Amino acid sequence: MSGAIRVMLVDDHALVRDVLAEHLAAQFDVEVVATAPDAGAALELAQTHKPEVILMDIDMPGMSVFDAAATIRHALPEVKLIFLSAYVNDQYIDQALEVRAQGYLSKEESVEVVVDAVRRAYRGGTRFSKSVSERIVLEPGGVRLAARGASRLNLLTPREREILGYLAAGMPKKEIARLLDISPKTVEKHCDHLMDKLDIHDRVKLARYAIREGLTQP
Amino acid sequence: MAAHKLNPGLKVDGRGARPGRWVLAASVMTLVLFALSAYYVEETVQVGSSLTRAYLEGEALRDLIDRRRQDLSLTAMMLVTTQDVSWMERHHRIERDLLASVSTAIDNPQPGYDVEALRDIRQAIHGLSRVETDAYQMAGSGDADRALALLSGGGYRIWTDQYTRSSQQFISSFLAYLNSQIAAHQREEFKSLGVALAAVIFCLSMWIYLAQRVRKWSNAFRDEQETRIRLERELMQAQKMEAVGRLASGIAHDFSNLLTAIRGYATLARERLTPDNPARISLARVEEAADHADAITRQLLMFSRDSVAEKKPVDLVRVLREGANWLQRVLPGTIRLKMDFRNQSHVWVYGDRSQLQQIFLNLVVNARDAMPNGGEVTISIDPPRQAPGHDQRVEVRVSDTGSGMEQSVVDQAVEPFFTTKKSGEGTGLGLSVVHGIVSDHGGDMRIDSSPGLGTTILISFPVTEAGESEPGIQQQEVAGTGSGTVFVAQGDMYVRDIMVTALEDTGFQVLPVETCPAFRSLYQEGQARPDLIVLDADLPGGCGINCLKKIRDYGYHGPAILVTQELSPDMERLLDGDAMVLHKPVRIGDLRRLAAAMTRARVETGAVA
Repeated sequence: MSGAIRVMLVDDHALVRDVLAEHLAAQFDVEVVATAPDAGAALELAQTHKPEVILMDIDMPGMSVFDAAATIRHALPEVKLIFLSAYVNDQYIDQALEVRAQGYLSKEESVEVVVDAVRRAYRGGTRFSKSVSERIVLEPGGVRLAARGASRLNLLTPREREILGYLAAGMPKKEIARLLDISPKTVEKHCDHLMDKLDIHDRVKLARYAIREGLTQP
Repeated sequence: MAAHKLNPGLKVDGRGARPGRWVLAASVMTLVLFALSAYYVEETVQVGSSLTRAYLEGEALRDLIDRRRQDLSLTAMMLVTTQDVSWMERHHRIERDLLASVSTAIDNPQPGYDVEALRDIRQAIHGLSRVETDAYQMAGSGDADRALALLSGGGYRIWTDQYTRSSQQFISSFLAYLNSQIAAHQREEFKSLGVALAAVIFCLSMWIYLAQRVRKWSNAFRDEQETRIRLERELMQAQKMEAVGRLASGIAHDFSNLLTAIRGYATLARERLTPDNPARISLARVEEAADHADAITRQLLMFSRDSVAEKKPVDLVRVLREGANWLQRVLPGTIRLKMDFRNQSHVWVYGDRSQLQQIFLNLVVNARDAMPNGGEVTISIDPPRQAPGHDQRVEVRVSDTGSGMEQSVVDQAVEPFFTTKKSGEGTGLGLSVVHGIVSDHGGDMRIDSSPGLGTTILISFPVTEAGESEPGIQQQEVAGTGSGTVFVAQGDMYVRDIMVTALEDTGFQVLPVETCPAFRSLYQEGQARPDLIVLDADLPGGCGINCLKKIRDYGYHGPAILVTQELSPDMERLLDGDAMVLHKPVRIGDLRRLAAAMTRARVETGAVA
């Protein structure tokens, strides 16, 4: 089939491999060029078949899946990697982002989601299960795993923090504007932004939050 | 698995931890007491024997003095009367002995001897001897009558009287001395007795104290043994749970793969059938069953802790208010769900929202299964209160009016895979999962149940300070939806892909570019107008802000999100209008939420780009 997305499937469970292969093969725009039972075999087959998208199970015996993925990425820089796993854990997510995976799907996802992920990856997009994408953060120099429990306070700019402190202390916006030598409109804008960022739209709750985070004294 | 907290140590005080020191001290004291007693006994014996010896010596002397005087008078009388020389010899021998004894006593007086009295006696002996010599000579010259008269006359009697008086003086002085010695010894004895009594009392107290301490030690030891046994039991239980967890995780993994296959093949088969084929319904059922099995697998995975909890302050009242709908969904029409929050609008605990929902879902499902003929499930939250020695805690009760449980069942209820339900109806994991989550949240769980009287599960959690106003389920959905076109400028292709996908998932149409010039061209081409601009301020060449200013110059006054690594006050001053600055790291979830919020605010206020 010319023009179809060339996919390689790697999973140690023959049943899963077969059902996914069959499902993908049933799509008009997908061609399964190879299947492999482990990461070692995937390395060799990837060299031979040069797939465009590789779907890899993470929990397989033998060679480390992420090591294999890194090697494949080096040999075929354009290849799109999508990981599948029954587990969603921080270590896996981190390693998947490290090899710039186009997707990380929990095995709870339906086959349709897997097919969609393949198409998206091929087009240059990404697809992560919700439980995975919730934990991804944009960081200087790329994407990483979220530091769990990080406060939304980090989203605020220094100016917004300053204004939050004044707001929590009960200072009127006009006075804040005078104090900071900026226009009341700008203060208004900062207030809107900080409320949006914190997702707190009530001044009393805002004050409580500021006290809890140590921005102002009770 | 439940997190098992170790006991904070045994309460045996520092001194109590070394019983040997006390036993040694008490033993030494006892030995000292014995030595003291032995010394006193020895001393008493010695004093007694010396006094006895002195008395005997004194008595012997007195006896000698008394008896010999009689002998002297008798032998003198016999010599005068018979003129037999043998009496003279006997008389001289007696006199010599007597004088020798008295002189020895005078020269070496024993304690208590009255030397003056002894000298008087010696003088009397000499006086008597002189009268006797005169009488003997008188008898030798044939004047026996005058001689006898001399021996019984006044001259002789003067000496015998002195002798007798001095002898009595000697003995009475000696007896007085002995008495004084005995009295002194008695005083000493009293003193010693006092010391000995004090020592005995001290020693006894010491042993009594020791006995008390030993009792304490033995109690502490018993407690320690019991604690150790309990900890060992807990450790074994924890290990068992750990092993079961690992097993469960492995099974869940394999099972999940099989389910993927079952569901996949069923979907495949269903799609290949014509829409009117009745087998489609059967295959849909297979898929449903696989989904149900998948839910059980997820429980297993949650049980084995492969899913990671994300904890933050969560409002329990809100969790339950919002959960009422889906909890009601698992209950048949014959069972009523009642919630009683005791007029509380918020109760904050530190936890993972979905795990807390899982607790109530599992408990409500258990309550449902205990009431096949219908009934009532009540979930109540008591007002938080301070437990002694603990932080503030809140107690949540889930009660049913069902069949209740025997104590033996209650004891095993939280064990994994323990179930009273029919084979195929329950996994036996529900309560273990609840127990595991509760322990992981620093909570305690108790089961109060009697056959026929229903079951109440009491769970207490530590209360935390109020958290951010967490978005509810509905709000989350709203926050997660956006519409319109977003221009995304991000240099890193991979990060751009992730941002694009996230924003597309939120409902935006996304046009991504890599550089500032590309961004400006995209805008100038005018094929699409953005409703939101998401710019990475750290684009190559640091042109992010300038790029935004240029776009503003072109006439775009809509919202913009600037994601940046280095944030300076200048940057904020340079930005005007509807621009929000997000400092990295930024969660993808927050980016989606804020993008949706900014475009929504725009729609609401009717702003036009």
